[in-house]
Amino acid sequence: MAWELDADRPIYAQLVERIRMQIVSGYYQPGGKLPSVRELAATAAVNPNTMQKAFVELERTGLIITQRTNGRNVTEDEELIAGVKQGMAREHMEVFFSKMKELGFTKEEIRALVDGEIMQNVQEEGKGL
Amino acid sequence: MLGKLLKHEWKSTWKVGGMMLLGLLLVSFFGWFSFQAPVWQSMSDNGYYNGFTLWDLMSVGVLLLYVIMLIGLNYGIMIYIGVHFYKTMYTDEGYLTHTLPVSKHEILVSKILIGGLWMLLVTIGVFLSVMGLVSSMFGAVMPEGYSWRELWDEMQPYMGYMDDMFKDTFGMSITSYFILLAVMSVVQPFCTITILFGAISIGQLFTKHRVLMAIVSYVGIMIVANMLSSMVQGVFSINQMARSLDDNVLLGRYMNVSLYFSVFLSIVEAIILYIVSHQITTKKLNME
Amino acid sequence: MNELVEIVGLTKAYDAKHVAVNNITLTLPRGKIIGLLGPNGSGKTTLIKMLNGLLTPTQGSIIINGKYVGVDSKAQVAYLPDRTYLSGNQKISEILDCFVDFYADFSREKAEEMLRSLNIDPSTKLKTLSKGNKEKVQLILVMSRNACLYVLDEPIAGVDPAARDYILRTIINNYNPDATVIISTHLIGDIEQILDEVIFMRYGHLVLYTSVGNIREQHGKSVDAYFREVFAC
Repeated sequence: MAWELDADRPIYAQLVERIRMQIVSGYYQPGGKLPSVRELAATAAVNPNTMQKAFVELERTGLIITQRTNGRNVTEDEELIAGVKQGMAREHMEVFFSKMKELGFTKEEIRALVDGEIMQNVQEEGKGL
Repeated sequence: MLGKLLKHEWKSTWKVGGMMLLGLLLVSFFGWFSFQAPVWQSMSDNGYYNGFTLWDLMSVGVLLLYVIMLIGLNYGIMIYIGVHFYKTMYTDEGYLTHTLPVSKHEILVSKILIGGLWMLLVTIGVFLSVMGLVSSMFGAVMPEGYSWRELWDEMQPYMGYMDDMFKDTFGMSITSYFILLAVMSVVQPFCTITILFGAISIGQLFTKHRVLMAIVSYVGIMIVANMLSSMVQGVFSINQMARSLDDNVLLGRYMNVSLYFSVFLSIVEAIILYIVSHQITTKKLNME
Repeated sequence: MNELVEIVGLTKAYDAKHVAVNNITLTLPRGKIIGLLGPNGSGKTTLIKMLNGLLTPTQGSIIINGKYVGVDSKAQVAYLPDRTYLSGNQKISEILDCFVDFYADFSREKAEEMLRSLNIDPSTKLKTLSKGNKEKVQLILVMSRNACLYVLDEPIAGVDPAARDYILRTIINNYNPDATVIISTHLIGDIEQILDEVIFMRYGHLVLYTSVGNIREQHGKSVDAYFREVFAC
């Protein structure tokens, strides 16, 4: 399926986010090979030039390494990937906390809610097994 | 590229064209069949009718059908070639024809050669069929025990006389006269097709009713051509009448001139309409 | 020579009142996917037909890769019309024969591979295929050429989302990177993510020619939304 993209933000930025997510989540393994620009552009149904731009951006941050003979790979630097993962997690946390504060929750209340959510998740997973 | 165009033009017309030739074969069989009725045999044996049977009536019907189908096939192939031209040039299929990297001359020439070839093949087929019919008719009415060879031998002494008569009348021997006729019969189908294609192309100059206008153009061209040819022939015959009262010579000259002139006119029309088609497809092409 | 398409003063007038394309001057670069956008009847198809030599311009000129529209340009332009231009009585393999014969840049292997991936047997007659598959076969024929300009007239009109994805993917996967692809559509939203640039036409006039990035960055909205707002269409 073509990737769902927001209409109002630059496409290349959304492609960067998407591929970064796939690397961080392990969909693309560290050191693993990436599809060519054209293949990935075709899968996503986006313009190859835009995909190229996204790759250049990911190369700049070091997540992707271009080898002249062998196409593109994900970096083998797992620390770097972990760092990016941390950064992304922090961004999500910041959003979460600011939203919760807006709703008027205190830090303790938030912690209690999070603990409760985790407990429920554990139980559901237990049932599932 | 012309070779490739010819190949593809042939490939896209051979099925229908071949079917028409096959149809011609079938129709010829009908013609032969109609002379197998007893009425013909009794005519030659007794010299008078024994009265029609149902079988005889049917044979006359079949003969009539033969003539109608022969005429139908003759026009059928022309209509088919015309429709095929229209379809591949000026309908949706023309989008492919006109975006091929080939010149308009190549397209037109390939279509004229293949279309004319089909007309020629059918003409030859009709000719052979009629010859076959005539011979089967002779066969039917020939008295028993009388063979073709005997007929030929009997005719032999008169051939020299006939040849002389021909020379007096047409100014050439029987053989050269028939060779001339054959050459003209070969040229004619290609001219006819070129004129037809030109008329179809002229139809494209109109914004609406392009097919109707193509038919109108064709009829118009035919009327003008006929008028021209009868005018010239009229002038000629008056001219001759004033000069000579020898009936034979007059008839021969008249036939000669009208034959030459009609072929000459066809060729001129074909050239003009070829140029028209080429101009329209290069300068005025407006695919809907 | 660097620019791929040079259109100068191009006009097509059917009569004094009905001017389908009105004095368009436009230069298109190589290596871009360009959307030719505009409402129905804005002159997109007329412009495309002139690019392919199916309509004779009333005025003006078109040069494609250094050649005026003619035999030489046609050898380098791959055109997908907005209709079926193939005879239904032909087998697909016969149509392939035809393309192999006439287009030096046509790759039969590429076309056969794409047909295989759709489970279309080349020995079937075109008319036995579904409407959707007929359109796909035509697209495959066009995209199996290694042309310098691809002109696709309304390739996604009236298709379902799965077919749309297939079509866009086939275009992206197969065009030569040095070539330019012109895609006309009145459904801007459906294809804008594959476009580099957009040409916008209305009433036969060229209204705008810019990059998609420009519109998104300057106006903070999609090309689709931008045109809806600015041109109310």
